[in-house]
Amino acid sequence: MSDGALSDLSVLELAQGVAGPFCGKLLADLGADVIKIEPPEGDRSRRHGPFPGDEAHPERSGQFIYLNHNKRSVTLDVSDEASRGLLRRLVGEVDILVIDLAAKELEEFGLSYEELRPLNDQLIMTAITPFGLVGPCRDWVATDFTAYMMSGLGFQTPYGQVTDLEAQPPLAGGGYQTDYLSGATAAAMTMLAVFYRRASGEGQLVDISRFEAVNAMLRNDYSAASYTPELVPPRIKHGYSWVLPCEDGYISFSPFIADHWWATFRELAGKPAWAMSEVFDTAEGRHANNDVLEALTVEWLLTQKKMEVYELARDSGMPCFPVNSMQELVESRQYGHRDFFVEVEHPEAGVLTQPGPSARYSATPATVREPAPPLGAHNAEVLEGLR
Amino acid sequence: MSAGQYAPLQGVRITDIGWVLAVPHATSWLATFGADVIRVESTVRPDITRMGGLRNGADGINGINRSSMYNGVNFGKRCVTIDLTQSRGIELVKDMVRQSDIVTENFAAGVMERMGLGYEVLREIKPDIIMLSGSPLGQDGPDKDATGFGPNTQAYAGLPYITGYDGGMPTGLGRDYPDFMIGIHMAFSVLAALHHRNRTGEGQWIEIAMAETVTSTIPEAVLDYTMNGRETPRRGNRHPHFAPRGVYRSAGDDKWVAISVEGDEQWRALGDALGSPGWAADPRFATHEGRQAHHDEIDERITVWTRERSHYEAAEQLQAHAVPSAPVLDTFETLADPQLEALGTFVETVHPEVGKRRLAGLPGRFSAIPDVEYGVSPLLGEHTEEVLCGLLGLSAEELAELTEQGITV
Repeated sequence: MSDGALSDLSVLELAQGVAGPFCGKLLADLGADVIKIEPPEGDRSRRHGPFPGDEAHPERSGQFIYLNHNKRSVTLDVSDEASRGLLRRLVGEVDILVIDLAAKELEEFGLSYEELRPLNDQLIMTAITPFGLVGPCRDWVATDFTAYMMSGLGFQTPYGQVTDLEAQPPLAGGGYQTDYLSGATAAAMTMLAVFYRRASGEGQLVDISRFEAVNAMLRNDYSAASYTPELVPPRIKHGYSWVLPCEDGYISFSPFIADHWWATFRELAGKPAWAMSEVFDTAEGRHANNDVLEALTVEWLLTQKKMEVYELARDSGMPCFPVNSMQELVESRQYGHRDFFVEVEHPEAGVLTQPGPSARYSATPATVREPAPPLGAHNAEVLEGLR
Repeated sequence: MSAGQYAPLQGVRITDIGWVLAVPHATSWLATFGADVIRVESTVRPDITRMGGLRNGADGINGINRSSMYNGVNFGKRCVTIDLTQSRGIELVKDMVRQSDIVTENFAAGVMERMGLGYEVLREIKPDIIMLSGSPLGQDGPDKDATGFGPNTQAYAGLPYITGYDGGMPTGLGRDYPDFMIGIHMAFSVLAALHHRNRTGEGQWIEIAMAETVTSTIPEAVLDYTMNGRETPRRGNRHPHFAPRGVYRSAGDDKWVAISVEGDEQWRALGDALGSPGWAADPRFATHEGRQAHHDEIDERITVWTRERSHYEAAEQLQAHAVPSAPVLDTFETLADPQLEALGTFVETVHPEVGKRRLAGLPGRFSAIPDVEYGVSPLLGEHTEEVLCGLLGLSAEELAELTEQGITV
């Protein structure tokens, strides 16, 4: 048993891929005891990769290994009634069930909250589905990509930088943002239910929709739409770029917004004549002449190295960051100083360098105590007591 | 909020010195579920989200209480004005901390220490205090002083490097996406620490670097580099595990439908949904590898079908065959979307200056708290007297003196 912040909580994770397992990981890294229920063929992220040397192997998938350390693995086939009997016994013993079956599967398999509650009235059941357990799209199928595209965020990627609506369609976010975001949302909502239970003594159903979780990231736009609808940004280019090219890569740079940043930029660029133009003295002037200003800035940036611009900006207190590749991140002085990347030794995959936890707790650090479990490694340990 | 008698965070008080978006987003969750969140602001250094000018003013009228950006993320909180550049102001904040469970802030690294409000100081005043500090790159290290907003910070963190059109520039997600995403991680962290304190009596300092949070959500790209030395290429909407995957032109102006196919069974289902055209049975498309190799051709064929339909119609017909698909919605379409309406995503609040306004509620539904009520965002300094006299016990004369000295402005 660990002494982490959540070491008194037990969790049953009947979820695959990213969203549910990321929720479970956030809980497990703080000490919760997470039993992961996998189908006999294993969580689908075991087939996802990346794999060392590109050789697919169910115990060597980077995505699985990252998401499932600190958990125990038990295999059960939820389509089998005897297995479901064992599952119900486990449900009776845990604090939290994180489950990602589709709404109609929950009903088909007798795993709806109404049917599980009699087994454990303190159970917190966190159900993560693409669209939520109610509504006209309840039974729609989705992927990270389609949920992202429907949420409104796809329409805003890239944000206000499209110059050709036909050639530049709404764009996917890199990686699996919908699912990581949904997992974090589910973890926070689950903790709120833990507090509710502490006050009331009762569990409840927490209904998380991946589509809605991403949609909620656009709250600025909804607020703007309600206050001044004509100010909701169009997809076509209308403002400053957040990413600009320089000699050796790209930089995210916003010297145009505030007058004092612009004054700083004029200094660090060596006061070139074009930048000193009175037209650009005010925020309004810079905004109105955005296209010219940005083109001139890019012309200058293309003669500059991104780290040099970044360091000048940093030391002047101006918002600016290089666009880092994975190699640059792994080699970053800052991440290195903070030991952000952690090396996890996995018996099948070797030593893997992976991102560490997203928060540092002075008293109860998030930790990797055990590497990701082999498929079904804890069947005997967990199930024997139930038979 | 209306959680009956069991508001999850009833009795929890938060002194919120955070500003802009990330920390205010985190504390909006906590306020909505019962915490007494008291924002510390001032006219000396106003929260920049209050200062958005006409860009954010209600009905195009500017005003420090009229910003959609501020009011969209500070609902349910109280607000005091205290000048943190004056030592008496700092003393007042310490008095608030004595009566708080949690302190939240996201100034640049080191600013809280310089103001005399670092964790070590606060812990002396209130031994079980939980403090949350957010910053772009963390509180220590050679780049701790770097400043940036969410959109810049995600660039550092690697997400834009793997986002972009095929062969195109790195691209950010939305504008303020990183701030809101990080706010959720912050809310979770605070709740976990509060759970620990409730059990053990022990407080702690939580330190969150925004860039690290973003990087922690792209492990696949990181691991492909650390395992195989390979950078993840920007491929637009395409993906090695799914084909076809993309957004397809539908009827209407700049309207699109998203489709994502994984495996042979879904490919056959897509063919059925499209009315089993002959081309869908082409043996070149029978395998995942074949579909990747002929992705452009497949995209053109699909577009012939999607162009004839609205994005909702196309998605519904594809969903009837269990093909992952969805209309690509813009802001106004999501506001009217029947699914979000069924989920109760958008809620109305009545603000004293700008009246009835709609905002996005918090995602997810609790069966035991069916009617979450969203509070109103505070006017600047609206609760100064209430908090300083009511909570801290200052007399009316003392408050008048502080006002005279320009401390509660």
